[in-house]
Amino acid sequence: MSTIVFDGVSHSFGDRRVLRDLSLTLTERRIGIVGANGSGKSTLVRLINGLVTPDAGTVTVDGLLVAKNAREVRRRVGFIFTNPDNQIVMPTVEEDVAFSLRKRGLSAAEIAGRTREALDRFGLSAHAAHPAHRLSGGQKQLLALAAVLVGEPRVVVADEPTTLLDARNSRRIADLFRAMTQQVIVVTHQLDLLEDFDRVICIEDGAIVADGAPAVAIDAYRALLA
Amino acid sequence: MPIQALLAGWAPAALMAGRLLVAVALAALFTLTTTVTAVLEGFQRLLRPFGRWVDADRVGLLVAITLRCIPLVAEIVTEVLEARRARGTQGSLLALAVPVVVRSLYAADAIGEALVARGLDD
Repeated sequence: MSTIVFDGVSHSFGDRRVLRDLSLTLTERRIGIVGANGSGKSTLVRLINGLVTPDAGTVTVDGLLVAKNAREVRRRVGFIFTNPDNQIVMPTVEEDVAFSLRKRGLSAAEIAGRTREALDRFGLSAHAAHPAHRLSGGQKQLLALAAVLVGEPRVVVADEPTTLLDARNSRRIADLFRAMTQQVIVVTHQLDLLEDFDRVICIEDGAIVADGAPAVAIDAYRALLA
Repeated sequence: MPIQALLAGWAPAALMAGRLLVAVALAALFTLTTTVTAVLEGFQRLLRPFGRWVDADRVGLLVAITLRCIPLVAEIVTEVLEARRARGTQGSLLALAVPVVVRSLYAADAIGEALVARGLDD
């Protein structure tokens, strides 16, 4: 598993401080992050692949400073967004998956082979040549997952990947996360998804308020809601 | 077309309208029969001699994202029209244009972020 280290990280958007002097080391296989809207969880996970650069402090992935080695880090860290529509770049399903493999020095045949494999794994083979925007919401999130995993990242970070999905599709996505061999870091409001995770972190107002086994951290989060 | 007719007479105006119609039909045929990946490769080959001044990859990506954004913007317009109807502000151009522009800009921001996350930070 990769080691992700936050050291004394603070960040503000304008006047609003979203993270306050936060230090954290992540090494577990499956890590969940919970917290209210606006608590700073999305910003926290965006620091991991350099989508946000902190005002103060440093973030490293396997010893690589994210601010200096963003490109290398992004190859190791795949990112799943809440809304797959924003993540799908190419007009058709197979082209979007193949897009992740550009500029990697692979032959066209290799790209086609790996794309086919990924579509197969996520049950999208029948839609390979279809326009991506015609897929259902659940299929779009599956496509986003396929397009990230085809690049073979070591870490998969997901920011509320099931928020826009119905119960069946969110269970499907949750099962896929469970089956992944990669290190997984998931921000979610769907607390049952985290029950068998190795570690859950609860963020409130830009600081860590609970960190530990799922039962402990989720109880702390529920107590905050009460 | 009426302006053309006024300035240049009916025959040139009809010709112009016909040309436009053919161009649109050809564009539709093109998008039906050609994959975007093929278009990207075509651009790369076409622009290779100018490689020193133009980044062919980037031009190809621009075309791909433009095509991808058409259904996205269409969806935004549909949703805004629905919201406008639901709130009873039908017919107001402002109630259409402002949210469509604002939401398109938000979407553009999010797509930019996703492009960076997918390794296109150059």
